[in-house]
Amino acid sequence: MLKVRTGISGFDELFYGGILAGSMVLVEGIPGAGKTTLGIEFVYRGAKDFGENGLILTFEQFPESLYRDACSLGWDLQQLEKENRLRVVCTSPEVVLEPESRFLEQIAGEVRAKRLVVDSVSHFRQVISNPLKLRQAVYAFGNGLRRLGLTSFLLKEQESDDEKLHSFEEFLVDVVVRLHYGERDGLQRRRALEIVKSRGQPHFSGRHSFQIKEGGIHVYSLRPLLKEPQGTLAPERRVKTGIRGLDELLRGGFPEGAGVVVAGEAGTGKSVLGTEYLVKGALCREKGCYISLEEPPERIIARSASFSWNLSALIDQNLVQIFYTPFVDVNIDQFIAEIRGLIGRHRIRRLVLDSLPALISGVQDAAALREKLFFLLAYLKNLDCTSLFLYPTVVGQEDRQFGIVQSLVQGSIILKSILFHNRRMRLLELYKMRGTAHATGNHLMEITEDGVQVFPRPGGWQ
Amino acid sequence: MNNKAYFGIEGLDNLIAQGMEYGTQIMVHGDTGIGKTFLAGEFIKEGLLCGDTCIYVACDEPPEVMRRHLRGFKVGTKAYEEAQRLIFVDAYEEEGSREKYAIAGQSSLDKFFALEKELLDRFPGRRKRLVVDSLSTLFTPFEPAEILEFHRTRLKYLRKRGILALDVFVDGVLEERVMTVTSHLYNVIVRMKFGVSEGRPVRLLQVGKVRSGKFSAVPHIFGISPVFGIIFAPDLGV
Repeated sequence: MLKVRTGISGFDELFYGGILAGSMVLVEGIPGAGKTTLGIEFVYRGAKDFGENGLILTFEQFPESLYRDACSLGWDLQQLEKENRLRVVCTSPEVVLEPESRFLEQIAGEVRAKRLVVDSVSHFRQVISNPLKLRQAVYAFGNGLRRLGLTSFLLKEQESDDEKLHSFEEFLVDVVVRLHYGERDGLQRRRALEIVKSRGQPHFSGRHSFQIKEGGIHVYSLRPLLKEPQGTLAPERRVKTGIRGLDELLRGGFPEGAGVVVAGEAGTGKSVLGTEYLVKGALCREKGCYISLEEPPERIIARSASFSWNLSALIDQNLVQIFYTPFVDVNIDQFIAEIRGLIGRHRIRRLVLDSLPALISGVQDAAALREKLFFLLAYLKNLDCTSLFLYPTVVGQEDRQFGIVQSLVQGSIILKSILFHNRRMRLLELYKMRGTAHATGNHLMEITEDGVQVFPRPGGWQ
Repeated sequence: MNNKAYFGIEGLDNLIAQGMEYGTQIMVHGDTGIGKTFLAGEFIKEGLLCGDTCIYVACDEPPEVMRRHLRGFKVGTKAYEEAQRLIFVDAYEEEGSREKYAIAGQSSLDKFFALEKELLDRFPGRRKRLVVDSLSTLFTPFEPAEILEFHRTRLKYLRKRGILALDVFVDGVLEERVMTVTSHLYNVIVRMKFGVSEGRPVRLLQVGKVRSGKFSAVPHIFGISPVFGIIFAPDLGV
């Protein structure tokens, strides 16, 4: 069967390349979920990028408002209309549902349309109140689309939050795409897209984050990225941290491609350890990347200046990069997809993420968190990138997420601060390093002007 | 090259006639003021004379005191230090030591061990003598279990690398149980204490143990001369 590429970023991958030609796709969601944008982009991309002319049928919006909205995303619908590659038609549902009407056939023929979006089929209910007759009318309408060889997006307003209630349209169409626009902790809502049904072709299940921004819709579907070829890493290869004493504890360094969480309270030295890991790597010509979700680069550079490292010079030589994204703007799926691209493009071997809770705090569901972390770790491992995830902890506060993180990462380093005979001492505990016969127990750690120094305990007592 | 080592104190060396192998650990313990640091000075002087590289860790006084002491024995330290045959580690000053090698903050045995290892590993192929004066001072803040664990690991490390080590302990600082267990870990034990002979206070020295070797355990009177150092009186055993 011929597949149609919608051209919507990340969407086609969910269907292993595109949707079957001639499919009827029902797109449902609450107000503001992005139904119209998704539908229009499907038609716009068809006409613009794939030579498939399109038809937009709207029952409530005037074409002018559609042009304006599309223009804000960078799509010039009017230009496509001038070139007779697109037609925007504002009409009433009665016109298209009239059994004898050849309206749709005529107008689709004029533009030689291959794609259609109907905004929205919910209006059909206003015309036909009898449920049985409504179902028959929609069925006939769908058959008409098939006869015309149109691949169509039928938009439908979601009437209830109860996802167990299914409208009859869902049974008639080939594909059902549900757009979620749910509230979450914090100030922002989160958009997600879910394929509920796809008749005759496989798809990736689950909810996938998406965003509407300049250029259109971007679906951040993590799972398809796992199809990437495996990296060249060998488990026995070690990545020397360069941090005095730590490599001795690690029996040579981190296993290549490992994801390691560095946890500790404020002031225990997580950021210093992370920065030194990148600096020491850069001195061995291994490219590193510091991704900050809390501190701007200037502050990271200024903090490093108190040590004997010339971080600015390493940045100038492109051996270290610092990326700053305030955590309030971060969408985890988008972040994971983009970070993967970044690591791959720049051939980055060492990554420091400061901090992990800032990234995952919005994912309250344990299963979802496990899944997202799994993808993050898997991508980095595939790209041979050995990563440190800094994780600030709070004493006495139960942190369910930390338990999940620890169970997934390959390694875990816990930094502590204790009072010993009225002296404040820093300790480092190598809590876990999968596949490594590492030293256990607490080890003294100092932060000097040369960076971190760990003093491995000779006896290894706890 | 003679592979036997000696204290450099006539009379005491006669008590351990066969000498000591490199890799031997010596425990010297005794009362405050008895002359343990003097004995350590003689031990270092002997090491320098027979070509050893000597490391002296000063815990109870600044290293400068030992430098002066050695100069008093006509041992100029400067040349030896420049040649890295004599190394002083300042474990006395808490902060701001001017010494090349120092341990700032003696609140961790790990840190001490790390520096000790680094120095010992820095001169491969050389015969090395190590003196820690006094180890009991370093141990003061720690729990017995921690001290014993540290001891076992450290002494094993020194033995494997053939280091001739002399650790000084001040009596009464550590718990008796700790001292008893610790003494089991050393190859040679030298006890120094005050006693009475013919109604007069005297200094006494006794070899308490030489593992797998012959020794005389009779306590002997000794004196300390600012010019000649420890003057041992082997025939005046009490």
